[in-house]
Amino acid sequence: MGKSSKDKRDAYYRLAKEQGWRARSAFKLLQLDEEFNLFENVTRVVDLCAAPGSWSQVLSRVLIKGETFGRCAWQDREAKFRQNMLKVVPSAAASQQEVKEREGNKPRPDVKIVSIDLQPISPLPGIITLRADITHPATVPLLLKALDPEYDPETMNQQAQTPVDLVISDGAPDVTGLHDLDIYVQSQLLFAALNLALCVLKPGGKFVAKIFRGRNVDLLYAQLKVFFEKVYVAKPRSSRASSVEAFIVCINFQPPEGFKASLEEPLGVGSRLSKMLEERNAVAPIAAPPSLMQDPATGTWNSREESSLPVDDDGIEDVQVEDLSSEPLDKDIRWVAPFVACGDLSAFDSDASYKLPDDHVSLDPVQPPTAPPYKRAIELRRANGGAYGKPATVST
Amino acid sequence: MESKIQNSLHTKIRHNFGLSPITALEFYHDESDRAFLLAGEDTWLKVFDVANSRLLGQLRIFNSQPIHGLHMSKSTEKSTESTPAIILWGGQVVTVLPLSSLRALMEGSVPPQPKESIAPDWIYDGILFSSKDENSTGALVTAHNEILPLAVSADGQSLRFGFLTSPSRPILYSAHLCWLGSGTILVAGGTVFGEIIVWKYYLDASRSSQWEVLFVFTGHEGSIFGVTISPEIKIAPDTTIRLLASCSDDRTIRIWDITDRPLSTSNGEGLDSKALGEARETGFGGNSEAKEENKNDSSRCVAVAMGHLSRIWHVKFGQLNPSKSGSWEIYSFGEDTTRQRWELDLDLEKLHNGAATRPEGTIGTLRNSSADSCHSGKNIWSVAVSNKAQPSLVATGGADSRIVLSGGKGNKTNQPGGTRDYESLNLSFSYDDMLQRLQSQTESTEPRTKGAKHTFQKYAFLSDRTVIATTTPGRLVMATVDGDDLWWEEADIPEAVMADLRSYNIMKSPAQNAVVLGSATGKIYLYQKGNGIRELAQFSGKISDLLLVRDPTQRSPEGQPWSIIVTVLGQDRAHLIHFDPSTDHSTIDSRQIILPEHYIITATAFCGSTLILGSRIGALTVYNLSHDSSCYEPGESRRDSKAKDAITGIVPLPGSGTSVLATCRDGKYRIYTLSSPSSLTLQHEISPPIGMIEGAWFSPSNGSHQLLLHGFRGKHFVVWNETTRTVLASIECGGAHRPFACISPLSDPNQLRLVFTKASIMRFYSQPTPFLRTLKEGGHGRELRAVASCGKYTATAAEDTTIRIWSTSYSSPNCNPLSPQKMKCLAILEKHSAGIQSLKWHGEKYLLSSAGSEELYIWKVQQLDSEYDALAVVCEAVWDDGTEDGDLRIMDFDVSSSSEEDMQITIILSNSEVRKYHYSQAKFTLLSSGRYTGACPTQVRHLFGGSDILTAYTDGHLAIWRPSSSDQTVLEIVTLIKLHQSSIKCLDLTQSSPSNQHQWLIATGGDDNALSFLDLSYSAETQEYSVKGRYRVRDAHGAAVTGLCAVSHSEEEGGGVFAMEVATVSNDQRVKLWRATRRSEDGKVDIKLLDNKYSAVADAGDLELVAAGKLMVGGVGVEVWDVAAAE
Repeated sequence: MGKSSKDKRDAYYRLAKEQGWRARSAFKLLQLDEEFNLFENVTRVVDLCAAPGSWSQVLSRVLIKGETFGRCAWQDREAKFRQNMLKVVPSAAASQQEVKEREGNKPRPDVKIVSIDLQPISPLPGIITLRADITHPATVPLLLKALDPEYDPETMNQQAQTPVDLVISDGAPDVTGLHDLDIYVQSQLLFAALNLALCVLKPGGKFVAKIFRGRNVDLLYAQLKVFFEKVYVAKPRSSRASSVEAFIVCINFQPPEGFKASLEEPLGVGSRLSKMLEERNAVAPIAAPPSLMQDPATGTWNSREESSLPVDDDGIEDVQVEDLSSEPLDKDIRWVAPFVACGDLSAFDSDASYKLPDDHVSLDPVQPPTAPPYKRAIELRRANGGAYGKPATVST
Repeated sequence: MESKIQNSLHTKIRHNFGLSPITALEFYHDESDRAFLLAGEDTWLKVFDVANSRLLGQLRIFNSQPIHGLHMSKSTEKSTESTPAIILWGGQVVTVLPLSSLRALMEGSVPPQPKESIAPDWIYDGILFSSKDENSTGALVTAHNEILPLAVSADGQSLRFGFLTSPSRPILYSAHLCWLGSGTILVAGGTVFGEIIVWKYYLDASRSSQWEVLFVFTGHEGSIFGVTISPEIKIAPDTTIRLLASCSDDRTIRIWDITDRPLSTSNGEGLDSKALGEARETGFGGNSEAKEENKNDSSRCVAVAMGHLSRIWHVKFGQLNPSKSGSWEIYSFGEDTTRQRWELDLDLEKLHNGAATRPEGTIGTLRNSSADSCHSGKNIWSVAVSNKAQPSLVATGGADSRIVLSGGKGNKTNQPGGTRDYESLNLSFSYDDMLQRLQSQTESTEPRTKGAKHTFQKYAFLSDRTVIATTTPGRLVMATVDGDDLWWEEADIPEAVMADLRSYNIMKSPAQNAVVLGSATGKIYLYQKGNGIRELAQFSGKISDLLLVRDPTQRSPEGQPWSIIVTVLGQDRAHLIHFDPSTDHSTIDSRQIILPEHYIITATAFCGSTLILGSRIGALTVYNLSHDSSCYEPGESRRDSKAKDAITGIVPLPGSGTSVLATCRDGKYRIYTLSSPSSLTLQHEISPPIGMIEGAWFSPSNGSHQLLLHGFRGKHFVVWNETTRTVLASIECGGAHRPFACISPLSDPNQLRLVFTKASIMRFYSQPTPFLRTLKEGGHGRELRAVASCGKYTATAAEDTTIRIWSTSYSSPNCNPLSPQKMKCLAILEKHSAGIQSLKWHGEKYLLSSAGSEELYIWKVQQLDSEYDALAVVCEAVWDDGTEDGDLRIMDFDVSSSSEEDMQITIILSNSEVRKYHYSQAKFTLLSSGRYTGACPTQVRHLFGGSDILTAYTDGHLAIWRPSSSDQTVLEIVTLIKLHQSSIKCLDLTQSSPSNQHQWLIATGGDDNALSFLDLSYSAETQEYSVKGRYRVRDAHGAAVTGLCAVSHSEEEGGGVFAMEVATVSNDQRVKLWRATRRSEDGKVDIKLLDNKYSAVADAGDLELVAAGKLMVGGVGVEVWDVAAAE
């Protein structure tokens, strides 16, 4: 697909170039922040699987430079106009929230941001970048040292002296097409991020990571709920509806009593986590999903007692289902995290095609995509005049 | 098809059948060396008989986990019926099967389902072995490079795991285990980051360390997707070596020397601590320090080669017996669905010396010797190689659910009645070779002049066993198959004839043991084996071509009359010659064929009494006898190929007096029906995967007919079975434009003989069975995006832009589950260039499909009046009212009509537009259009036959559109309803019986995991819709609800209770059945979950009721569920 047609097919691709973001995924984090106020009172952040660095770029511009990005950054003015015309009204809570404008942002003192990826990340002002594999145990001391220059790796201590407020991860593997395997590898990236987060996150901290909503994702949700008071699955409007990608937003880190993070016994493999989950569930079952309500004053999400409010802001009745299915339940504890769509209706739709003005000039990407491992194969094939058959079309 | 709800409370769903990716394969040879193939398809283990491709038995192994791998125990000693014989795993789930279960499966009975055990991590490989220690009878390797020993309980029912052991825990993409004996396992792990770790695991827990790292290999530039350890290879009487093969994202295959020489392990300890333990920057290539560390190891890379068009998933060793073939055999398997064969040559001298300083990849070469595409779509997910057979048995399992096999002896039983199978031959003869053979065979003393520059010219098969060739000196030579060689003889023809045929001749075989020859001087000869040559006719010019007029399915009966058309250079008439063997008499038909100007005939056939000719520039012309019967006059002519490509063959359809099939050099074949005495109607147009089709024939078998096509693809001669979609032969011949002839037994197209010229050499190829055999048929090799059924046929569309049309026969689930496939593919349509979004039938005659790039096609589907029971499909119209750039996606459409030929079609476009058209006679007329907010639409349905239009959007809203009262061309929203937080992914509706009050229950599935019901009514008086209620099941699924289908509904008289049953599928791989009931007391809707089952279909794209009570799920594979009241 050419640059210009991609501009039409993907509004966020175009916006990212226009607004100087390294990748369109910057909007995903901004829209998550808009919904969950992620950056509130945050100064110390770890960004995992950061390359090409668009999330770090968001951190740099919001926390260090003090820039503000509201929904105007991704608002489709025409859509807003048409919504008014067609009387597509946003829900009451959302419109109330719109009244409340974000307070002016200021550069924050003592900001510490560490970004890690396998691929090199071009430098960003004020951000420490590390090249490492987050699934590798050797990465913990590297990270602790970066967060805290006084840290001595010889102590083998795996807890940060000065913990961080927020850990984010936008990491995803190159998918193979074998869905089971891709879901497993993605969950391992998520657990690697969680394992690191458990080492560096302060109580009350937040954790945001990419997740594939596939088979057994409800097991993952339940397991994450062991460590956080609230767990949501969020889909920003800038993430395609056709993609299995979503983001897990975990709020208020509450490590279980006596829990000590250790990469020697990492979570995600073995039975440690499922045992913890069983113990926790014995005390406070999480099987019944709480209904969600957005607090109009703060814009945050609260859970409520199930029966008190069966009708939501949009007037849709939530129905309690009578379960007559006879499928024997497995022992696994499953729970579906509440779904939250982020970015209001006036946001550009990542699935829609947009008409561009006739004089539209397609910009070059801020950063070229990282070189794939088969780059050499493609070069060789070109040089050989297609000795292996027709050169595969390389999307630009 | 939607039916009335039965009054039973418990409607349930039950699995009927499915097609899933084949994710595990393994060969098994029993005591009598009979070969079996064990395959994992989803949760099922299937056992096939290799010799006859029959499915012998199947067993569900896991409840909700596909089988990713299986391993047969190699140990035969002390094995009893209860000894665990197979270990199977998928994800973290593991189990074992005793030999008795395998035997039961081979005999067609169903053994008990084994008990599942859960390992602490994802499993990549497993082995069973017999060791002294009864606590360890097997081992698994996890995705974190750990060994997990296991023991099977005495009753063979459950597994007990030991402790995890690992030298280092990087995340792997591949691993392989090899039992070395004496309590030692050799482990190879390929990491996500391109490293390979080779280490030893010792069962003996009393050792100070249970592991020892042998090598850490760097060199690959991408993830390692496959590693295989070779058996020990004897290279000298007292020397053995061991190799490792690896394949990667970087498109290379590497061969490593992993021979465990005492020298190399000495630095093992240092390696362990330095390279694996310390804090270091990790990731691709590691850091320079680590690289330096492993330099010595990387020099053990003995050969590197690049291959495949995309990622390489597996690499395996074939025959490793260098004394026989001179080189070792390696196979690789890729995302591009090819299996490639490599020949590995090693400098054993250098290897033996084990030089530490040699540069990587320099002591061996990998030579690519073949690449064969085995599957549809993408990916070979599983492979098995058995070197017990010669040539090696190689099986591949694809994402398309198909299993393809090569090698072995093909084990065919000769039919009684004496027809001998074709031999397996691949012979070459130069002209001089032929002369030598003639001399030695006939012991002729007469010196034959050496044919310095003489060559073979034309070929024809006189019979199954004998080929005849013309030569540049004008001699006619014959070669007959004799054992594994050819026996040569020369036709005794007069010197004058030889002189006439010298340099230029045309030769065709109209009947068994006969050829007709044409010469430059205008003479026509008949040569009959045993009867000699004679002149049939003389024309006044060079014979430019001879065209056989016969039904190719009727070939060979000796003694039948035959006809041939003769074209003469520069003449505007062609001539018919008839020959009757019973009278041994030939006649030149007085009725000449009048040719249009510059018309060069390339193909001909009679369709009933009508003559049809094909031309050099792709025209098909109908000929009928003139009124006075004095000549054949050209009637209507049509040309369907875009370029001026020749028609290469015309074949009447079997059992049809009105239809013919024409093959064309443009790569397509077309079926036409003679609709009036002189007019051809195009019924079917298809591009099979052959570049240049040279001919076609129908093979009768079991009352039906298979269509066989042959031609050239690249440098290969290809025989393609269009009915089974299989390549029967692919022979490298140098490319098109060369003399060739081929023959197959009429009822066995798998056998083939081919003769052709390559570089002036005559090549003779013969096969008893196809090189590749299909053990199990499959479907699309990519994710299905749409499923549609018209009752008679089911159509499916996949991510790879192809559409398949199937006939289906769902037997009751209680009948033999091993019965042949329940879905038979009738046609494959390959015209779309972008991802297909939607597919719908309009009656049984029209199929509509929409896709990206503004593609909306209307396909006309017909059953041919022929014994050949494939469908005829032709694209009747292409929507042409798009934008200048043509880059919008047509997300969905709906179609309704009052008559079959006229349709109302409403399409929704990714730019938020909705447009309604009238379609008639291949023309679209825009009626009205409207535009939503900018959000992308996802679904559209006509209400009241299209006067109102219901659309769904990515913003979670439903809208109802109607033409504006002031301007009928403008669509306006009359009702707008929010149902979901984000995209509505699927929708279905059910309507109460028409009364004054129209009422619907509309069910929607969302990206927000929710299932919603909208209770909507419409007043005919006010012409307004009103929402009676909106109901939502928040966590209907654990992930996005991607498919939804109304199964049944019911209402009581007076419109009281109104119930609807819907099925849903989701990315969480559950299929659920729901019932929504409107309560009579307050009109509110109750929702019950009736059933909830694991679905094998990942990434489900659509759910459709394909027959009463039959639900089809399409995604990664397909699945059919029975919906029925529970007993």
